[in-house]
Amino acid sequence: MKLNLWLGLVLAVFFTTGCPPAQHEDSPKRNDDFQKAKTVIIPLSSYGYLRKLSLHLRGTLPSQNEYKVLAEALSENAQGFYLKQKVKEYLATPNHVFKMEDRLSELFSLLPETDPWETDSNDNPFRSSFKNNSLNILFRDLVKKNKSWDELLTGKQYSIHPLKGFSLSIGDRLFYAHVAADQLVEPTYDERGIETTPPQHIEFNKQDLRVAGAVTTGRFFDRYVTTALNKNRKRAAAIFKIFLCDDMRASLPEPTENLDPIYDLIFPETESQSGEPLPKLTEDVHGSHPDCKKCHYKLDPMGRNFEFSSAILSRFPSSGALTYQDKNGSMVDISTKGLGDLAFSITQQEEYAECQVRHFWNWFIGSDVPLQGDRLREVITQFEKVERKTNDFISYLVSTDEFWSTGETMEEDNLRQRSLTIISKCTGCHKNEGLPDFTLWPIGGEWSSHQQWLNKIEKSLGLAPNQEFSQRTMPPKNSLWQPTIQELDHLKKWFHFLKEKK
Amino acid sequence: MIIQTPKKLLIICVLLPLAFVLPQVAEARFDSHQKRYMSNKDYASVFRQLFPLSTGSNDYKVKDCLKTDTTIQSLIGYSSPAFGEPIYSTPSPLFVRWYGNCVQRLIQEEFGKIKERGYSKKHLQNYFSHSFLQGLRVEQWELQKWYSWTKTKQLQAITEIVTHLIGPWPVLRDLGWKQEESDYIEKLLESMSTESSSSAWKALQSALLKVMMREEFILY
Repeated sequence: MKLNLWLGLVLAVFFTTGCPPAQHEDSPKRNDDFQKAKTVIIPLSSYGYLRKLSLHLRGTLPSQNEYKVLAEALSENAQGFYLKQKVKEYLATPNHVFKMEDRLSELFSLLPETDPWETDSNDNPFRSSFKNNSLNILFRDLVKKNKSWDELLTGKQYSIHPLKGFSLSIGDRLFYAHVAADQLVEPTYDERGIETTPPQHIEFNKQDLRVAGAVTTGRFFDRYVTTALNKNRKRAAAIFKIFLCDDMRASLPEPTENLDPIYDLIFPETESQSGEPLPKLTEDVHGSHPDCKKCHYKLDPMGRNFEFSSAILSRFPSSGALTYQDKNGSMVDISTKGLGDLAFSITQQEEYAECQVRHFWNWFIGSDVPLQGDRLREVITQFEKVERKTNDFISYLVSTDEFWSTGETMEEDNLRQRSLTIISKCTGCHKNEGLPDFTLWPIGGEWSSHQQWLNKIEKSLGLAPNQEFSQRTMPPKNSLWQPTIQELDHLKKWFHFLKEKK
Repeated sequence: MIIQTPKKLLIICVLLPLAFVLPQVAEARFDSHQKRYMSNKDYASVFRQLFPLSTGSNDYKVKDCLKTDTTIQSLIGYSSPAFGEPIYSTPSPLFVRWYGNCVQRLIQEEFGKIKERGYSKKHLQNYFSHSFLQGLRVEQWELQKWYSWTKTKQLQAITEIVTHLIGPWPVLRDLGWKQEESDYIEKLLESMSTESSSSAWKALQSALLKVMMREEFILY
């Protein structure tokens, strides 16, 4: 026995130091980044996946019955089918819709909405107006009806709800009064003066240049107000940030003279608070400073698309342009005849697709998980493949290795070496019984029989997906070596990894 | 109150915040730094799922825990609309204080309502399986001392709570518990040594609180 153990150890040392990664040679390469990093994502168990899925999509824990059915599915090796069904089921829940609405509200830097279970009452008109306005209804429709994500920017349909009580918003009825006068019904009020008009659906022609999804909603205009000085640049900046992931921050120019730094922060290059007229300031400083130009060449042309719409949507489209430098450094300069045209042009940009994919990635996978190179291209291809449909793309994301991950990673070499060290302990005994060396791959000298050996080892150690560690039959109970729970856990991860790599 | 003594308050207010903050780096969005925490409305959703009777409570403190009020939005990881980023970069001690207080209130409220309904086994099934409760006279739990339960029964009850709140054993492993399942349950039982003179009814509420205050409960 001792001799065998020594032999096992010697073999382990041999493999940990000099064993070529033979098992990788015939495996398809996943992508360059993955290969370079040689990082193994530690996979979740099916139970862990169900919990993660449920919390991600519904915000609630799986029920005991769901775990029970999963256990049954595992025993029949039907867990894949069961979990796919769960994805569909969870995506159809109202909670998923509200969770996505929350994510979108954060993306648009809006105050979060009311809770989905909160009743729509007159007690809290502020919260009520957060919930039932054309923008939030658009957010929810996008998910509820599995619409193309582009509709967020190019949508032409809105729901108009009456304003409940006092609200800071002017309300959607007034907001669309000029563009949808022919569609809007006369409002009605009760004896207390509260509007009782039933909710109404309005729709514009697909070619309508004045309308552009979330951007032409009362709530967007309220959130990104404009002034005569700002000239809609704030709105343009929000569009660049949300749809092209170009987050611009205001820059204060360096003082050119020895001015009081406090005044300099308030009114650049102005010693008195009353002397200089503001327009001159913007022309002289903010308009001509090189730091400012970096953003204003993008903001000003786009801002012009909002020109006639300050607080409510104008009945006339206003021309402008989509101008920016793409990721290759080439200048994009597209003339746009109105907001509808601008929205369509944005959705045609490569930067748009990448940006939207990144939003989803950050929501469902996590911003700490890198998305670049081939993997990024692969995910964008999937986004296009599902025609940018919201829930279809989410279904894809929750099926990726990255979603199936515990968040724990391990170097591939470490995982292999540690696993072979553990396996060498099995070989220590089994070699005497005429079984092949499990650490020499392909096991038994043939790739054809190699997988069968791996399956046998996996099952004997209780590592198969439908097994518990307690179900292992090897090593026998009277064996001197008994694997620890950490060793079994480690091997289980390795076996999963090998299957994934196949 | 389940927790009244300063010692226990110390655990809730000082030790647990440290437990959240020190062992890992996590962003308060609770989804973007390796460890994924429940986020935003998940807390209210999960509370509603586990404490359904409390949703009808008249106690405003209980009601506040079941909704995403603007006052706690930054604590639970919402981005600030002004900055576009969360205010807290890690789950803060304030979060743990809010969370601990809410869990404590909700357990107390829920168990009070279960008692009002004649120790309704139907509602206890949020924490214990039907098979565990079968044949048990739950109303006796208030009269029985926790220490009078055999260790096997105590372990079984805690296992039930862990399974219902966190999930089956593989979930615990996924969430980072690298030792045996029994170690987890044993450790929880050990932490309940102060409950020995409490009634089983109270002790089980305390066990529930301890499980919900575990990091694993809010991870996914």
